[in-house]
Amino acid sequence: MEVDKDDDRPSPIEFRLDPASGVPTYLQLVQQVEQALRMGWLTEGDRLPRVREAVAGLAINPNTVLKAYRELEHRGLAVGRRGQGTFVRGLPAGVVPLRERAALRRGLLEWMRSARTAGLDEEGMAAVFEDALRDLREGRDGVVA
Amino acid sequence: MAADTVIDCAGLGKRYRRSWALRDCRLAVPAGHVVALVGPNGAGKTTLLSLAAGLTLPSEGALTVLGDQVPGSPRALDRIGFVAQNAALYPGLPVRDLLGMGRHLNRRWDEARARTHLDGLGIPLDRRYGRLSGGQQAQVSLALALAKRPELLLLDEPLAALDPLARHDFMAVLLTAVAEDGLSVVFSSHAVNELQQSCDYLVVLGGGRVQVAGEVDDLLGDHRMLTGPTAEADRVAGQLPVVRDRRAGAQSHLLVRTGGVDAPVSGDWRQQRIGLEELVLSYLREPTASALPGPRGSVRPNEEVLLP
Amino acid sequence: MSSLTLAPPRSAVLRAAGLRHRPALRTLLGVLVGLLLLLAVTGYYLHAGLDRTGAVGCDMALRSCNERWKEFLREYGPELMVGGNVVYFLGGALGAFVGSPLLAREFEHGTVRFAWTQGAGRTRWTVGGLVVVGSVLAVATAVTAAVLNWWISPMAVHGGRFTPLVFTSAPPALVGRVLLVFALSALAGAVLRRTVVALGIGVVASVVTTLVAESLRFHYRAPLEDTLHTLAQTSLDHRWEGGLWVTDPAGNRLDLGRLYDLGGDYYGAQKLLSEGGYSLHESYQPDSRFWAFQFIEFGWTALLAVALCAAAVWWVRRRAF
Repeated sequence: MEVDKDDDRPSPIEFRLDPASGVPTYLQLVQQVEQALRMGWLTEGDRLPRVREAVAGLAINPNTVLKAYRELEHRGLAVGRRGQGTFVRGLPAGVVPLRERAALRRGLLEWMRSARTAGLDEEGMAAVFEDALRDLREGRDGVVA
Repeated sequence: MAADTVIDCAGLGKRYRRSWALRDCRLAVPAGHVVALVGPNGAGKTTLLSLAAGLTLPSEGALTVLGDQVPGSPRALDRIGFVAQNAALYPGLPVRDLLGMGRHLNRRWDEARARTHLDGLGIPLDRRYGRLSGGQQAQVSLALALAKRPELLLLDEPLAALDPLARHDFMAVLLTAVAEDGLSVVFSSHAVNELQQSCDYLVVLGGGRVQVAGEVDDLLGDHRMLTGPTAEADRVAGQLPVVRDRRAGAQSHLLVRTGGVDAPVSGDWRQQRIGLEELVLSYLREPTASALPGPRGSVRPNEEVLLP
Repeated sequence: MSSLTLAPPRSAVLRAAGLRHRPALRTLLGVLVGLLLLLAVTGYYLHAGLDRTGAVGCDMALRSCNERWKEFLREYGPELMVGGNVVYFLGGALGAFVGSPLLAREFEHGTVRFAWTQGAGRTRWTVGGLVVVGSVLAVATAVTAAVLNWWISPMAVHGGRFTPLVFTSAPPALVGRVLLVFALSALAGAVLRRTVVALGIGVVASVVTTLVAESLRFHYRAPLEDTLHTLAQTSLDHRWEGGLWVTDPAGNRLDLGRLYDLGGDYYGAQKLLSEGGYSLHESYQPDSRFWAFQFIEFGWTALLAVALCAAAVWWVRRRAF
């Protein structure tokens, strides 16, 4: 079992666990890393939490953490360096840098305001959005983003 | 040199006066795992752990630990740690004296590690053991067992008397030690729901016999819960080994073993994987059913023998 | 980063046992210190009384001396008797109080599961406990016995050192007896796994041991024999008198009562002895053999104690928990 040596750079993220979600633990960790990458909390070269820390914080089996990190390596998102830890390597598709993301969000809020003026409530807005998302998906001939 | 298996037994039985606490047990628990030993009260969990720790002798059959060591032999005692139920230690002694006892009674003793661990938890060394809270007592017992730097750690219902916070802290310490040392752990519990995150090997004892033994991932992958119309239940049940069969008027649930693949059902039948707790409960409700390590992927249809 | 100790020395088990038993040993010593204080204070009064009545140092053959002795007994006799008998019958029970929880409590509280899973193993653990506690008990009892013996010494003034209440309070005899009861209680505790029952057995054993020792004691060494031709008590050397019998001129044994029958009365009997060819025989143990007897008594009780301890260890070893 790899033991991460002490390094003064802490990881930018911490894991949490939802035992009741029905999602296997290792998959939750993978999803959290992907989410962090999308949100921009993690970028290239950042270190993922040490196995020991994750275990101590969540009281989970170390193998679970290792399995999650292996899966991330498999997806090309992380790379393990012996004796040093696991580091972010690439970004998942669909990750947008923080600045552009903020701009997109502003645009979406504006649309929402005009939708509200037009008389749509929140559920109506969500329905319009999901319809459009489906169109977009089908428009791309089944290739899912 | 670490062994491949930590607990090996064949035909193991233990009798107390007239009743058999364990009967005809066969296990080959692999090293490097966190093993959950589950079963209802009186199923024989404490007996099995006591046998492995060398506290008691089998009535029939044999048990070896760490490969080929005899439980209770000096070499086994050096390399195996044991945390008893209710963390029973000497209430009148301060924690410091308990550490001293461990230091004098063991060939390998990492005093610094134990002290760091206890300091980190804020447990004062001068406090008498009897004055500590339940969670603190459990941590002290764990610290004493880990300070031996064992290869195998046996714990008998360590979480039973602990509140949720104490339980979390206890497991965090235990699993951190597993991460650092590659330690094998076997702990017994009769609460399954908390085990899924920490354990990767499961042994289910029912009525003194081993019903289930295997890697958690494999076991969960091996089983499917099929839900469908009762009218077709017999046909489906005839195709696969059924562990548990529950039928209502219109709808039936069949827990089947598929050997790691999806069950070949279609139409009105839904299938899904089940969680650890449901798996354990199902087997405990069916005392004659078992899922023991055998040749991989051996799915024998019409194995209704598993049901009474 | 870690500091591992390798192979602690053999004495380490004793140190571990010392740590484990420290609270109980402290209690034991506390109780005995209290007892010693009590003995010191009451003993001071006893001895002062002895001096005051002048019952010691006077010639015991004289009637006046006897009177003084009786006065002393009137005042202090009950105290001496009670104290002496308590020690006599229950002195060994000290060993029971210390020995019964030694192994039994480990079973009752479940701490066996810790003690027997340490690297040293159950055999060494049990031996360590017996040795450490037994040694402290022996030393503490020896000190207490020295003070006890001083306390009860007035009884020896007229009766001699072989007086049972005096003999059994001397250090060698008392230590041996306490260790024997200790070992038996520990064994009972190991077998029965119940402290209270083992304690009861130990207390009974204390009484039984006392009685058994008393019946055996005279025969530790072949007694000496004295032949007398007078009934008057001539020996004032505090010898321990065993048997008393008479032989007729032909050498046949008679008991003393028969002599009186033949002589008619005291003076007739006396005459038969001094002139009639009859002899009075006395078997006795001389006072000088006191220490030899002490060590013989210590010897067999201590040996039995060791054997019982070994039995306890064997039991723990062989029997599963």
